[in-house]
Amino acid sequence: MREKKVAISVVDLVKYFDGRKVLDGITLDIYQGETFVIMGGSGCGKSTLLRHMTGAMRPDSGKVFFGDKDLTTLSEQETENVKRRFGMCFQSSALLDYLNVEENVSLPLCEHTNNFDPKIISMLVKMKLGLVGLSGFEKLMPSMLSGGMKKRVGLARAISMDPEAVFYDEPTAGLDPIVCAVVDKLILDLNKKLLLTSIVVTHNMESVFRIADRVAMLHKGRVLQIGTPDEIKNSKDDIVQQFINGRLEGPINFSENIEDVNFAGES
Amino acid sequence: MLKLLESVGANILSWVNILQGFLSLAGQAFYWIFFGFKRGKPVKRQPVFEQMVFMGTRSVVIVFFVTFFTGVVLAMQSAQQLSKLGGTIYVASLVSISICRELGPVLTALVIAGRIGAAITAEIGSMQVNEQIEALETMAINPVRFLVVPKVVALFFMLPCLTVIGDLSGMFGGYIIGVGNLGINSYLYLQTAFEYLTLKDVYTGLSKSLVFALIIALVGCYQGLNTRGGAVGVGRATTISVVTSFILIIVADCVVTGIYYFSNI
Ligand SMILES: Nc1ncnc2c1ncn2[C@@H]1O[C@H](COP(=O)(O)OP(=O)(O)OP(=O)(O)O)[C@@H](O)[C@H]1O
Ligand SMILES: [Mg+2]
Repeated sequence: MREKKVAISVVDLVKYFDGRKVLDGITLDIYQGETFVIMGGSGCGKSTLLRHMTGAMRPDSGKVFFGDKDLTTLSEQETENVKRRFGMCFQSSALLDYLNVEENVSLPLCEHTNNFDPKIISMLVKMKLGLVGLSGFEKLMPSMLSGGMKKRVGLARAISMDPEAVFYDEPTAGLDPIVCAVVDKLILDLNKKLLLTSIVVTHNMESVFRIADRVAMLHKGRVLQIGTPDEIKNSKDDIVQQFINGRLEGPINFSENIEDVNFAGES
Repeated sequence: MLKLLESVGANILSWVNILQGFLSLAGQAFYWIFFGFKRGKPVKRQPVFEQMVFMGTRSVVIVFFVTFFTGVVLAMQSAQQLSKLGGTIYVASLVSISICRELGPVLTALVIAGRIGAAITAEIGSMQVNEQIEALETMAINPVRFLVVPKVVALFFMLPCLTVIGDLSGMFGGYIIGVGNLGINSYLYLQTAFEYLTLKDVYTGLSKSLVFALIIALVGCYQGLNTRGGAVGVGRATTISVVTSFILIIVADCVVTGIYYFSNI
């Protein structure tokens, strides 16, 4: 087997919210160039895990390595430098709604480079929009776009700085099956064309098996199982089986889950 | 009894927290304004100008109306009293001094707090609940530098300008009553209005408006950045922002006036 280099490595990550353990000792390695899928029930801490990997949150204990840099101990300036090396696609797209598509995509470029020729910037933007299949939409405002198009603009923004890795938080949530397939294909394409490492959080079983090189199943803040899609499909674990088949009966009890959710944090 | 103490303690703690957060935001904003160039990120002119145009065009008409009618009311009410003393002419200086020193800056600031402060909170708050602030952070764009600084700088320059407009329209309101209704000669009115108006009256007022500008912009941004809980949260944050600004403006007015009063600058 080919020697794989570790791109991101999470070691024994623990995070408490208001005294409740949301991440409970998560350890996983993500290899360079692979598409790594994180799945798990709602509220099991997937987005929180992603936030730790992007340096948006600091853990209570544990480490997150991006390359050889430990994100949990870097200074503010160094964290910024690391942040420029990856992109992130948000669950709600998170485009700035007072900027048009072009300005949104070029925002990281304009902010992180001094006196770039506007012509070069607009060329780069055209190229990125071409990659996500949205050429010609430069001047539209985000409010004029459909959910799927916003997702793709968000994707173009995520790759505008030519990152080494891209994080996707539920890229296909709320999209119709065909657009889902389009977004999935896009993730795979970008992964190949730009040699990206992709980390995808998703609930969507179809896309899991379409895009994943490896899958991690999270449950109650712990990693239940990591493996290839086939290994997950044939898993002996009851929880994993219940989850991927969407069964009502099984070890995951719905009412028990509800008690775990702390609504105070939401209000 | 213990419960009472507990809740009082919790209340005080939460206030201390808010104060801490607010001061830290103010500190960060000033850091980026004055030392941003050290990190290669000086204050950019274009977003500041955009904000100034937005703030100015949005509020100039309402500032005019509020202060104009205040000037009218002031003239009418003081005319009644002053005419008993046979000094109707002094309506002119009474209006101009009280507008320039006090009413112009404060009323303009209150109007702007309701208009611009609310807009700032609503804008940043909806960005906060839609993950947009988090997105900025992930792109290594500091939200304080990117969003807060242009607004603070723009309002710092714009509020004194609007205050001057407010002062002038307030005096104009007084002039309309003085000349139109009280029959004072137009030239005489203007002469009296400016005769007793010292430079100090004007700069006292304008220096107040600088303080008010910082209050409005920083409170608006602070409430926006700390918005939680979806669209309802944005509405709540906007209300709190305006109310807080109102209270702080009045308190700051008192403090600044006190400083001038006791120090005889
Ligand atoms: N900032 C926060 N403060 C307090 N609690 C939080 C915060 N963020 C998340 N939580 C809590 O942590 C738990 C995990 O949240 P997280 O968003 O990571 O779930 P998730 O797996 O992404 O769920 P979903 O699939 O619904 O997006 C939830 O119970 C949530 O209430
Ligand atoms: Mg999530």
